[in-house]
Amino acid sequence: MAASDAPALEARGLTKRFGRRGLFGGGAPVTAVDRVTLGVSRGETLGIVGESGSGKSTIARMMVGLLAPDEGEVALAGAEIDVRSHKGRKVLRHRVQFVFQDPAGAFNPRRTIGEAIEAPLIGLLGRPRAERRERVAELLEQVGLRPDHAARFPHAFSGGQLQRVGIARALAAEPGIVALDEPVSALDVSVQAQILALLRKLREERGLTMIFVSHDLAVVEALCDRVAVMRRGRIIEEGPCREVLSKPCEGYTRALLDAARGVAA
Amino acid sequence: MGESGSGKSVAALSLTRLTASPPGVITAGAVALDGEDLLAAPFERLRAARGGRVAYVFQDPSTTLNPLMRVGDQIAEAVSAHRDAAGAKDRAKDLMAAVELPEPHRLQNAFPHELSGGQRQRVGIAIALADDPDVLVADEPTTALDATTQATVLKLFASLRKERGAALIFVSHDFGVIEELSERVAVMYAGEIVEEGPTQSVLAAPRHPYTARLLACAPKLGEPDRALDAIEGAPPPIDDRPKGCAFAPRCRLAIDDCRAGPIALADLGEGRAARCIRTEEVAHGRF
Repeated sequence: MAASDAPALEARGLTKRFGRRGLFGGGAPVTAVDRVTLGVSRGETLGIVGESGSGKSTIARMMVGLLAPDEGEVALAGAEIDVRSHKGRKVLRHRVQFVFQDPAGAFNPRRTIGEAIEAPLIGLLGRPRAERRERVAELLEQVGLRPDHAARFPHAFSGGQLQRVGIARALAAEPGIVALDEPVSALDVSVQAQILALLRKLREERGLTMIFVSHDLAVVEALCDRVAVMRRGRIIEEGPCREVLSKPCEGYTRALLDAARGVAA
Repeated sequence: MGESGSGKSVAALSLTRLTASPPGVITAGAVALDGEDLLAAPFERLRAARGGRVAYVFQDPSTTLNPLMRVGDQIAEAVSAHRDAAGAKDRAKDLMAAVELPEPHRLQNAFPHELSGGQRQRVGIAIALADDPDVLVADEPTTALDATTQATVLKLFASLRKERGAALIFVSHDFGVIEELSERVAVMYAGEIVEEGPTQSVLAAPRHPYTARLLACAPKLGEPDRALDAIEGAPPPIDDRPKGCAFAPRCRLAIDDCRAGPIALADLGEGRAARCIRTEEVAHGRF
């Protein structure tokens, strides 16, 4: 396969088991993700949906190198990356960033948000101080905040504002790909709409590739090009988002849709 | 219905003086339960009404249940708080069946951590039903649950209301849930009711710009091309509300009269009301 045809990021047969080893061990490990192969093309927004415990967050975390898989590989633009090594994960971090679900828990309460956004500029890009300050201001404006917000601490922000900071921090490393784990599910509807508008804008302006993990089918339909439906660690249905959500092939997808529409039989 | 900080939970809890005090102080108003003012009632009367005539189901069952007590005993405890302790165990088992918990014989001996989120919330509902309340107040009871579990719990609320004839006050931030379950809706913003009326007509044709904008920015399944026009800005801090309409700073229809002073909840007929002086514009889709 030519490099240009290869998915921007691909999971190849990823498996993750959460063991019950150690002091209270004894039971069999739980397989959270079971041999999942899943790719996202350049500029595409991929939705991963499923109920809690389906493994959707686990697969996203493995794809960005936050979690080491037990089996399988991650490929970046067709080139396999050794995500079990420090070096491999570092390569991945330069290109792929992550936005966490709970914005309040994703920031160090004792650091200003300017410092939080600056961290990838130091650690990953090694930019000089003056340039960093300018870039932080620029990033804050891009996500709809003010440059003077940089001096404030996380507790001074609302949930929606902090999620904007989370997105600014993810963008700081200038990644081609951003994975977002339920980025709007802790937010109010009106704030959610602001964040979705921001994501749509970033995608248009920067051609950002996105992996969007969510349990909310309406949000996924509004944002994603393609969707993968997960159940018990496996992908049971995958395809163009609108097609899958309007004409699902699998009974489970249909049940999720019915529940979301509030017509559970 | 309202977003976080709009005052919906505080309003619901204040019905039986359950808001934490301090810091919460009810400074004005009355709560009439069959004509008796609960806010003025002596504590013993209030205590009897709590859980007896007005019962609550809370948002997160994993924090409201006692983790060290078997769920059957927790339901029986609620029963014996209002009724004879003698038949409490049997009634607990009946209640578990009423909230459609599977195998009550086995599950009554389970601890909360052994149950799923949906089952735990059913235990919470069983406790609320212990003394056949006239009014059931449910504060975001399905927010912590998965969509499929949420759907089944909502169905349970609908059928309990029908079978037992209790009134239901359902607090939620989710229009979809409100639409499915309620006949009437009150929309709250910055501590006030801004719109009220029959659910169907309010959701189909909102008259307050906040309701209209909120509905317009919610994604809807099957309509991926909705513009999701976000509402700029944020609600005012609750201790620094503007002199006039609280929504005016974010409202595209706001005029000087909106900012001049408090806006009254105006009767619009057909059981509808809105705290807005520009409802005509909203009705014509200009918001």
